[in-house]
Amino acid sequence: MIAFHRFHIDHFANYVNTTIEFSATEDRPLTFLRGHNGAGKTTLLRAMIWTMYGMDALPRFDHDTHALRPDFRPDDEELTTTGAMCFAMTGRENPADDSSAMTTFYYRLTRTLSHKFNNGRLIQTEGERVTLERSRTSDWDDDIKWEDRSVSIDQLARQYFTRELRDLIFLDADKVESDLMGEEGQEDRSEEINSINSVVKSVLGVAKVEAAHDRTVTAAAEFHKALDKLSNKNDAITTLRQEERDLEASIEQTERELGALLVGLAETEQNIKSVEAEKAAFAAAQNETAALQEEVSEEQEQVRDEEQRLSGELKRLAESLFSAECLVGLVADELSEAESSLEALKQDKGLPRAEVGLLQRLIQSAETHDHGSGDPPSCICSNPISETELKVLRLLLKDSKDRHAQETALTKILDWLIPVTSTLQADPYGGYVGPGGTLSGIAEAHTAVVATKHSIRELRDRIRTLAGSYEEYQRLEMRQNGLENSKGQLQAQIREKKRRLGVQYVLRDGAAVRLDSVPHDSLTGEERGLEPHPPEVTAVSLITRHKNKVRERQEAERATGGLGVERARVETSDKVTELLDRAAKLLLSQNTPEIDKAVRETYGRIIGFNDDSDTSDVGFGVNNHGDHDLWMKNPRGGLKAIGAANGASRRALVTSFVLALLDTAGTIVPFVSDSLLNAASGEMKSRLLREVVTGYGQPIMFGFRDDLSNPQDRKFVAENAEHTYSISHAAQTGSELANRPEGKTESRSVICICNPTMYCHQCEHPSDATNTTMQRHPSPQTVN
Amino acid sequence: MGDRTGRRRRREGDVLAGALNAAADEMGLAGTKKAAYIRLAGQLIHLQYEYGLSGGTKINIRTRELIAETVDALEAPEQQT
Repeated sequence: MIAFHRFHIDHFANYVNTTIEFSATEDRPLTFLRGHNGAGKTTLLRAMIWTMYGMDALPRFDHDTHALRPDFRPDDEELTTTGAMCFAMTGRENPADDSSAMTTFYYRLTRTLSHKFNNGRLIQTEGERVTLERSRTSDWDDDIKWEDRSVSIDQLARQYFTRELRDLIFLDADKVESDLMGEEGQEDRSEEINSINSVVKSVLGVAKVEAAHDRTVTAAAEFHKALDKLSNKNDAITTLRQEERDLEASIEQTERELGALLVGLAETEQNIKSVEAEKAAFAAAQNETAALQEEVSEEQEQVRDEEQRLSGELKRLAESLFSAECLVGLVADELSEAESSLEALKQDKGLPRAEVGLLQRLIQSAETHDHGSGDPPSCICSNPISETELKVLRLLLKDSKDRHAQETALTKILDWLIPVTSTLQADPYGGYVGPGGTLSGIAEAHTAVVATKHSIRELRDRIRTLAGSYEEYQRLEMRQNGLENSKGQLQAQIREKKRRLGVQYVLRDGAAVRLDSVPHDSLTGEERGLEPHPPEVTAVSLITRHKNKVRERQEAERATGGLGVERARVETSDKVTELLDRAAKLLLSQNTPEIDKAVRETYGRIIGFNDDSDTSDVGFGVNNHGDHDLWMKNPRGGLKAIGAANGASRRALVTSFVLALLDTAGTIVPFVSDSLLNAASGEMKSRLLREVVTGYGQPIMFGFRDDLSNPQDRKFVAENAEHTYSISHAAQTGSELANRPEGKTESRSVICICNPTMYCHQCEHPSDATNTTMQRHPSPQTVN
Repeated sequence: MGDRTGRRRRREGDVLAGALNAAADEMGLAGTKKAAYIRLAGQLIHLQYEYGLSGGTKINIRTRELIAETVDALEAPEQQT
């Protein structure tokens, strides 16, 4: 609720230093300002509008007749126009919240504008200044304790003085009638219908609910966006986790590879050492082989000589052997013959000639071959025939008649021959002693030669083996070179792996272990020399990337911690959006019948409608196009064009609509009406006056003197108005009012605080002196 | 300056509160939630007075803040249980 208390204006058009008080009591709420045409009523209304809303709220005129221009001032004179409206506001902090406390504050809104006019054109010399002061007391006359100047003018204006509401508060009846009803006879009312819908939406608060709805739609979209973003972030976390796992796997794999490389390097180094050892062994073997080759050559030479010597000896032995074999055969034959002879002797047959011959040959052989000269008979016997035995043999042969002696001799011969034969058969060379030595010696020599040859073969085999091994040696050399290359490659790969890993690794138990995780005591000297964290590669290392990924993921996880909250916000914003949408629709649908009813009732009261009246019915509703509009029906129930309504009906309808609308909305504001009554006449004027005064919050009415020509109306005004004023134009009054020191021309307006229902000597035009309808005021006063 | 004629006069805010209440009923809201949503709607509407219909960044931010505060207020009792 808002109520005006005091208004001061200075240097606004034809007003100079003028102050008026408004009625603001429950029992006498009316403020009535009366004036002739051109006295300055509308100018004063505009001064109030300018003070409250600024220049933009004023109607546009040609610059020669600017609404603000104090036309009694010359061009190029600098002036400061000041307007101050004092008003009280009572209400809840949140109009939609019944639980918020009701408070009343008193405000003074002051607007100043420094300017001058040049050729009728307004030239601002300083910016427009607006101040809003607030107080908890309403003692306007005292030195009021203004406080808290932070209250926003715009905020107040938005709450109570929207453009639509402003037009209704400061009801320029002609203008509002034109805006909402159109001209008389006008058929196309589309613009007026738009105005009506706009006014209804504004006053009922639908516009604000719709605006709030639009805001929540935007907010909901933001929340949806945030939720989507978080959801995407959630997906991103999954991706990040996967990337982390990939990186971890990559690091693990790299570490494994590094471990394998380090193992490979160690093996390669070991292999190189083995190869070097083998090469050294092969070098020694080569030296040994050379020595052996030399030795073999010497031995081969000796063997060749010995072979040559033995070859001759063997040749001779072979010949001797052949002779001996022949002799053996011969001896065997002779033995056989001797056995036969012996048998014959046993049978007393005497020695056959053959045996004698054999004995002779034996003796001859014994005799012709020197014992030890190598003759076969003696050399083949292990028990050579002694000289005695030869003699016996000879005796036998000489005395062949002694059979017993012969037999004995033969037996002895047989005893000798039989082992000789056996010896010869078993080892033809056994008892042979030739020019080169004994047969055993030859055999030994032969064996030695064979052994030497075998040894030479072995040596040759070994040399061949060594030659083959030399190829192996060469292969080993190649392998060593390959291993050295491999080692170099491995070391390069290890360096790269370490660079990628960003830290130094050492080998432990066949696996790469981070250097910084190995106890210092267990580091080798070489390992201790490693740089723990090569700074030049750490920044680009996998581990750094991994850390960054982990950090990114953790941040995302922190952010997605609010996923549930975002969902709740989305749900809440969606719901409140729906609530506001429904509320906006309900505001219209629920209140349209209320407005319709109030319009009909108010119109009926103003027109004086009753059941017997043969007048048009009026109302407010939704037309065929879905727009809200006023309607009229003729007494027969047919729709009547609004444009066809006459002046009084039109004024009554638009006033009813405004009052019904404000009433339905519960909006309690000043109702400043200009020229409201002049279109009505007779009883309707009286009813309209009463409807406005008794039916609404703070009626502030500008009217003509003739508006109160009815004594009953004057009485009514006198009873209900705490403050009344008469507005005069100086040129019209000719009184002292026009001769104030501020006035330089007669263009200014003056206000008398007289009771406009009575004749005022100060402000009434001289011609009014003859007006018998007015009482004479006993002691007139002026306010400025 | 009120009802001098004996006619029914609505209090300022009745119309809006009635519409919000009816809308909440239509949506099936009840109890604490209904009160919270109506309160939130009232606050959001009141923002238009504070910041103006044309609004701007501030009113958008405040709108989101109020919704977030309502979420917190609605969730707080559930968290306590």
